[in-house]
Amino acid sequence: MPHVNLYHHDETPSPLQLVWKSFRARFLSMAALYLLLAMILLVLVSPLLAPFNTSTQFSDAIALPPSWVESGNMQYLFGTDDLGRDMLSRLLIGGLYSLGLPILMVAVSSLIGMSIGALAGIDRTIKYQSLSRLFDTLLSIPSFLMALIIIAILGTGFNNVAFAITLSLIPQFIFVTRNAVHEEWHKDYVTASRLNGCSKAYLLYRVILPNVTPTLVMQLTVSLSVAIMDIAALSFLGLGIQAPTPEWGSMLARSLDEVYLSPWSMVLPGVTLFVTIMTINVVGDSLRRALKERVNS
Amino acid sequence: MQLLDIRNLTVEMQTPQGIVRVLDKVNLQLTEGEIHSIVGESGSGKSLLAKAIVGFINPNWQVTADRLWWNGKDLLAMSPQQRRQITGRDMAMIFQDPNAYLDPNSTVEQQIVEAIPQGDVRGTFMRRRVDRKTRVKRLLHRVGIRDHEPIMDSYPFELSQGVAQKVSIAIAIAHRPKLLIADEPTTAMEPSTRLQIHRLLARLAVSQQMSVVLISQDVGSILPETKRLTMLYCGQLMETGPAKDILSEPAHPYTDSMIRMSLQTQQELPHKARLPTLPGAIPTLRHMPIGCRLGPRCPHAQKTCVKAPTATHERQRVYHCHFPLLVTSS
Amino acid sequence: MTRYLAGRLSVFIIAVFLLTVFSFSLNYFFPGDPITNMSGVRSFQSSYPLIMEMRGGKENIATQYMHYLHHLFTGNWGQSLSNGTPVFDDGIQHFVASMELIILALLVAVTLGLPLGVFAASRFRQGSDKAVVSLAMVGYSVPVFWLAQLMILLFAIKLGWFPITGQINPLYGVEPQTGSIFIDVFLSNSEYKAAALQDAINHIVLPVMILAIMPMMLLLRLMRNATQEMLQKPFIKAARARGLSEWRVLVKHAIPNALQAVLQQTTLLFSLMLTNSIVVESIFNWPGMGNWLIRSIFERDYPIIQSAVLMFAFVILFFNLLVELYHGWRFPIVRHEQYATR
Repeated sequence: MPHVNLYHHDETPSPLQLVWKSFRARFLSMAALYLLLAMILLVLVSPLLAPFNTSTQFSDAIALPPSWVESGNMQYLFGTDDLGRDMLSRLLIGGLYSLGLPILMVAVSSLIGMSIGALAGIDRTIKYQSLSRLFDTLLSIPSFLMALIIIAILGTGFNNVAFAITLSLIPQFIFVTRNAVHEEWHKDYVTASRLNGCSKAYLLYRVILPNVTPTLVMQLTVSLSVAIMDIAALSFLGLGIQAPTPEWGSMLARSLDEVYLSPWSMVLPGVTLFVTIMTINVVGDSLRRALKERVNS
Repeated sequence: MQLLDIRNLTVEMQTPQGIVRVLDKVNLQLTEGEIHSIVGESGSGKSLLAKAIVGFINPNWQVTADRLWWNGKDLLAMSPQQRRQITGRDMAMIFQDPNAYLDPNSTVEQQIVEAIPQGDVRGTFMRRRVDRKTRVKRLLHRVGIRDHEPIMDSYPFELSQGVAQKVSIAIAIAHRPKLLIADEPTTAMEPSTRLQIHRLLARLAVSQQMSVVLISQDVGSILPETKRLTMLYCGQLMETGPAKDILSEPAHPYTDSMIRMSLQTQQELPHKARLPTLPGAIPTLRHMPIGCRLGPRCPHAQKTCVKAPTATHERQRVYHCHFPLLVTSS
Repeated sequence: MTRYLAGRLSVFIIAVFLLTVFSFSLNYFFPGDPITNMSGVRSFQSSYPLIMEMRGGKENIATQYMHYLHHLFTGNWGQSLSNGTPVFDDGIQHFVASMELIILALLVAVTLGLPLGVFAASRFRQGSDKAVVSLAMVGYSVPVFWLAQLMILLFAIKLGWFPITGQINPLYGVEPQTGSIFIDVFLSNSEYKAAALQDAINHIVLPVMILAIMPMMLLLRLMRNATQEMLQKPFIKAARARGLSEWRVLVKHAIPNALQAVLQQTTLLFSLMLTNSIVVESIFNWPGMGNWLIRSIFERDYPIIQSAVLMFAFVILFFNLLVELYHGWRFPIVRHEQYATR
């Protein structure tokens, strides 16, 4: 017997589902999301995919253009740089440092920042009230400057850079989480739950958290694009990940000298970086848009 | 002379479940200087009717009417610019939440000045400034704000609801409209403030020669000066006619139950008696009954009620019901 | 307003105080001798014992900090570790050079970004809105150093319109005095002032353009979203129903209220601007604070690092203070929200 739906069934999706629904409805949002996931996957398996070692210098193929140009060679799909290193391999492995590392850094800093922020958000003491404005003021100092200070203290190097950027991202998470929790805390539904005698932990996890999740996810995307920008900018300036390691920013830094000889060595890492940041920004922006649509409807 | 003449106004709304008729063939006639009350429960489409008159409606919704005439001119045939000009000149509207309808970042004086027609102020630059200021003061006095100085320099968030509503009435009457639509102007207010606003509206209607359409949830809270009354339910017109006749002998079961439900009109309710209410709940937009939409809740409903009743004209009133309470005399 | 002003000023002063404490403690975080880090005088130099005495090197931390503050406010910021020039004089020049660049870029960003944002909002979800918003998304996502490279490649190398680095061609012999290239040109006793001015303008166009693009796109997006949100508010609908023209509704009601929302986000704008200015100055070899800071980090010139950081942070705090005060003065509702019962 076929399943017959006799009664009209009303669906009332939860707020999170609503956000997801309106996110899904837009083609651009989904395209960006899939592209981002694909890039993350690509970065994860990049050591397997890279055809050559990133530091092998092919003396017979110096500054070879990409394969789609007349003088290119299929063996080096994206060409080689001025030292004869394979561009494709460098770009792929570079993703580990330019996209993989920022994801890791954001994960760590968000965990720390969000827990502190959540605690700060529900703390109602006078001391906190008077200090909050001061913190807000001090948080206006950009994360890049903080990362620079930390590097100035510790010196350059892979570990120091990763540490510096992770540390410099934390304040933003504290700030955003604290404000979001703080704002929800004053809404009537939270007051109602408080009057019902819910414990603080229950309030935080079951009452407030579902309502601030989209905001926090949005902050994740913002921080991710900031982290990618920061690490690329630091490497570009020569303070980040050091030369033989194929990071996109440092690849760009040395490309200006050879731009006449091999323009692709500037275009390819730049485009990769640009597309990565753009994708993340589009995902974040779509999320903000979906969130607004939910609130408006 | 009919000021406003609406015949069979229908508004349809696009929802994911299909098209929903939120207003179903509503009629409304208004003559100059009269007070007309529209009463209905929430979701009856009374605000929508008001918004359809001033052209305030979501552009994605379908508005059709056999006639939507203002002063003998067809509003639906006009270009949006023309219509906005007419609406801006001849009509004004005030709302339930006055604070949301005032610009939070300009002072009361700026907002009233903006509503005064340019042609009213004459003279040189300085004279005009003084003239504008005196006009603002006069308007504030007219809506019952005697202490105008502090109010003029205030921002809307500094005003109480009652004062804010008075200010929005001042803005509304600044260009001497022919019609003032008041959409539940006092619903969220204290009884004393409500009384003030109601008296103000009634007085303005007389002194300004202005028609007032007052929208209300409750037959008990309409103005005593109300000349005509219209009952709406779920977007359908139930009954319309002279207020006194309708209140004393309702023809439609819905009107009857609304009158008996209202605490203000119901004095002889015995101690601990149940308030006579209609059974059931207001249907949601997606699940409108066919025929007479009151059908499932109506105490007098019969089989024929699944067909929409036609209008019965009797003396000055009109009602849509198969089984009216009044036995027609003819 | 007085209360608001006092509140903001006191927070600002406390923040600056904390900033000096931080920059003082940096001397201890940096490797090496704190007194050397502060003053730029190495321990084997003959003046070291004197400096040690003046900075209270043998006394406790609190006294040292007081000495540090005294030096800070009297403009005695020590000397560079690498070439021995006084940090304060250098710093002022770099500061002015940076500000010239940043303020020009900010002007460009505001004058283009805000109107475009309003334009996009008034054409909400139409073709032109989508075009402008997509452009903003692209412009906001381009890494600034890559953009700089592309622009240099196009305008400086391919077309040859603008020079690549520096403030002015050294052939004009304009001595840096204030740091601001335009003022320097006027102060110089060169015979070719007009030509020098022309050259200076040529030099500044490219960095200003590059620096302006990202903040401009950010402002555009913020303004568009805020205006669009305002246009849906009831009071806008009421204004329209009153028969006001669309232009008047936009200018008198939508834009001021949208600006109020946008001004709350200027922190983001300033930090973006300063971050990018560091990169752009390094690429164009512009003698500003960012370039100075990066070079000093390479050279481990600690007196310069801490001074540059202090100046950067101070600039941001000061700009934010100005915006907040303007915000509170222009939009009384902001002051109201601040002290509402929360």
